[in-house]
Amino acid sequence: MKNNIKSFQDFENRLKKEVVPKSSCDSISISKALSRKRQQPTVIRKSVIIAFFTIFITATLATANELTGWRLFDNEGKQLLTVDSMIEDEAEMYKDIREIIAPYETTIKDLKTALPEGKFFYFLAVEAYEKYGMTSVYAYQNDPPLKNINELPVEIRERFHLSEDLLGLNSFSGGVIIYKQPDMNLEEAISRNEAMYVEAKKKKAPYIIREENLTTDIASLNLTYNNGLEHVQIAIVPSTNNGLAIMSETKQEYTKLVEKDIEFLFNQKIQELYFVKEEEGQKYMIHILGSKFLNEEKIGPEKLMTVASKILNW
Amino acid sequence: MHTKVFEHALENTRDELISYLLKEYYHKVYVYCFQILRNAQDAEDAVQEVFIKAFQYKKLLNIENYSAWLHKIAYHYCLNKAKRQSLIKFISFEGRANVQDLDYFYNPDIDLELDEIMSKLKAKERALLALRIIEDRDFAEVALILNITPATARKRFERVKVKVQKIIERNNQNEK
Repeated sequence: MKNNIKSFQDFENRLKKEVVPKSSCDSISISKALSRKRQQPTVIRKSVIIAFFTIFITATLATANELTGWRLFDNEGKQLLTVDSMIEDEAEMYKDIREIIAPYETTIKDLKTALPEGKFFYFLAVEAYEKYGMTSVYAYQNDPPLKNINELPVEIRERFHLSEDLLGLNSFSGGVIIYKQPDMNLEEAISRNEAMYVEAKKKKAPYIIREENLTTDIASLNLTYNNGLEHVQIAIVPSTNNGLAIMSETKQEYTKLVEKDIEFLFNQKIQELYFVKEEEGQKYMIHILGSKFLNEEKIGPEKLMTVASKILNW
Repeated sequence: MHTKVFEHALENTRDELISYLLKEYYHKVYVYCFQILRNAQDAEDAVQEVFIKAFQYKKLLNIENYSAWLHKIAYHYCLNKAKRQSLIKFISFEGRANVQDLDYFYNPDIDLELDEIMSKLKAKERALLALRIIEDRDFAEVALILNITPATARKRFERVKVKVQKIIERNNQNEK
């Protein structure tokens, strides 16, 4: 990048002339939302749509506390990952949505099982939608399981140094490639949800679903290794995902570790480790989840770090 | 810019006022949010939240200076958003253009050099620059929005100027 800004004056001029990216939605979206009195303001929060597209991380209720979060840096001091907590009222909202949807869990499970390959569905519970709007519309998919590590493309296996066994201790027991749902235009999402809602009301149904096609892009890759007693789960998320939602009430349980100038985030209690692997300009977020026996009190990060070392090819 | 007189000349009905405020301030507030958050998607979310919050206010018809009021809501919203984002974004400011939005990345109009400087400033500082430089507001107006005195606004602006100048110098040295 060429540095043409030499003074504050240059900076000021350039700031004035800067082309701000065009907004993909407009004031009409707000008018529409406001004209529908039954709906709460959260209807058009685009980040939430994206948040729900990232399905491998389980959302847990957050409590507000003083910690502001962490930032993970690489060995050049470049920021790779930011972890922040969710604000309390948002967390309350998600909790409420989950409670409204809870009675339909068996139905959702059956619907997922019956899904044809390459498809996913939106699930709109009328009560939740009336209360929280678009935020409450969830998407579910049922990606086919990986039975053998060799079913993974060789490029992926090589990039993350994945093989049938993990450090000679655990062997591959299963996995899944989660495909991305198509990116959506906010206006389209609003009208789709509206149409679903209207149809549900017309049918006097408590919920409604809409089936759509998945893309062929990978949203995340989840693998499990075990040795009969313990297991290790690895989730790899290409950074081309727009972002990941994580909500944690256990924020204070995390510790930042540094090894060979790479930063890791470790949770001793639930035995999990986050870090970012960079290769050929691409960033991948890696999440390793280990198992813990009930009688084990304190386990350090060593076990998970060994797995991370393999993925990092140290 | 419309004046208070114009705003008060409205029929004082809530719906008309809402339409007017959206038409008049939506884009301005969006640009302001963008300058603070430096991310189009976050700015979109923010501007929508700001207006929805504003329109839920029961005494909406009694506001004296809508522009300042909306900017004030936007300022607090964006600062909170910057502080407590509910998403893990392993896309830092530096890497954002690479992965988050390809349209953004390939848009030749995007000023990456400027973007880099802005990313090194705090959200509060970006807000101040947006008000002063882009919106060309005087320090009294800036102070009103940021809830500080005009003298403090002026001092802060001078400090940000120095900070920007240092960033520029550092960037230019690295270039050499």
